[in-house]
Amino acid sequence: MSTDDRGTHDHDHDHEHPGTTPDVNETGYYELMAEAMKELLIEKGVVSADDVRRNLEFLDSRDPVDGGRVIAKAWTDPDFKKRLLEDGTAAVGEMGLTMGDAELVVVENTDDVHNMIVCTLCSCYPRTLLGLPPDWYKSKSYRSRAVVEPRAVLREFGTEVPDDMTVRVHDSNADMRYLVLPKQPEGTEDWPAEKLAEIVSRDAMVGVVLPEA
Amino acid sequence: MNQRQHDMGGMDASPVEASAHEAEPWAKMITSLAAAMREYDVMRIDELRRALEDLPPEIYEQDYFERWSEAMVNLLEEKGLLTRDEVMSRMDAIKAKLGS
Repeated sequence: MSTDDRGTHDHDHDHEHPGTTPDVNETGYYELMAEAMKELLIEKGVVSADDVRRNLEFLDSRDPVDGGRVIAKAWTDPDFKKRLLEDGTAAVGEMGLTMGDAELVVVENTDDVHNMIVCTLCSCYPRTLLGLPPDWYKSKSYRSRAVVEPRAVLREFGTEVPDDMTVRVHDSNADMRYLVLPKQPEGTEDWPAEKLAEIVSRDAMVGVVLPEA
Repeated sequence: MNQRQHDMGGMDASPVEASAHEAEPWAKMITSLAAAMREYDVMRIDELRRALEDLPPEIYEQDYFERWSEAMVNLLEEKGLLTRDEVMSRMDAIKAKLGS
């Protein structure tokens, strides 16, 4: 039996909970579940309402623009690029960006190698740099196929990688997040970092498309 | 090969559908709730992943944040922080308050 002691809902009896079985609208059901969990955890003092709000604000403030700034800085500052490839976590820290509990590993696209990232086990993603992952990143289609037929998956994003180029797929985990450093598009050599940051899309940093000038 | 449900590398699957669907407010809220618990070391990310991996297949196949919710309830119950019954009756109470 439940340890419910709120007093408003006597729970010392077995009864059906109409509306809480998954036969109702599923979004509504889980929306209620999330709200119920939040209320209970706050009442029990596990977290405070302020903790939840602060984390929500941080989440809402995350955007691929930050990742784009990192890439643009690497393109325009060779010393930063070196540090970024050696220790991604520390390098983005210089820019005031955090990786949370995880390490950042930045992988560089070259003339010979194209990199892409996936999380086959779950949905690990450099979310502090890019925001929440898109649905396709979390889909079975992407998670299962990226590691066995990456070129076919890339083609579904409209990206054709020549046969003589290596495709390297990086499988993320809870402690290690990858970010792709794409090649700087030709003709942008004299662009300022601010303008370069704007052409680096989220998908380019996941490695499923290439940035275009 | 004994490959569990979450370990998806190499499984057969359909083409990738590149939708640009924004996370719903409740999904962001539950993500923030999980992040707040991580700050106090009450619930770690690897524990949540284990709880996700242990879900029955029919739940694991549900929408991403739906399975997160189910896994969180299981994990929090396991930790003695709340019970599924409490969550269920609170859901009823909220629903009644909303008048739906």
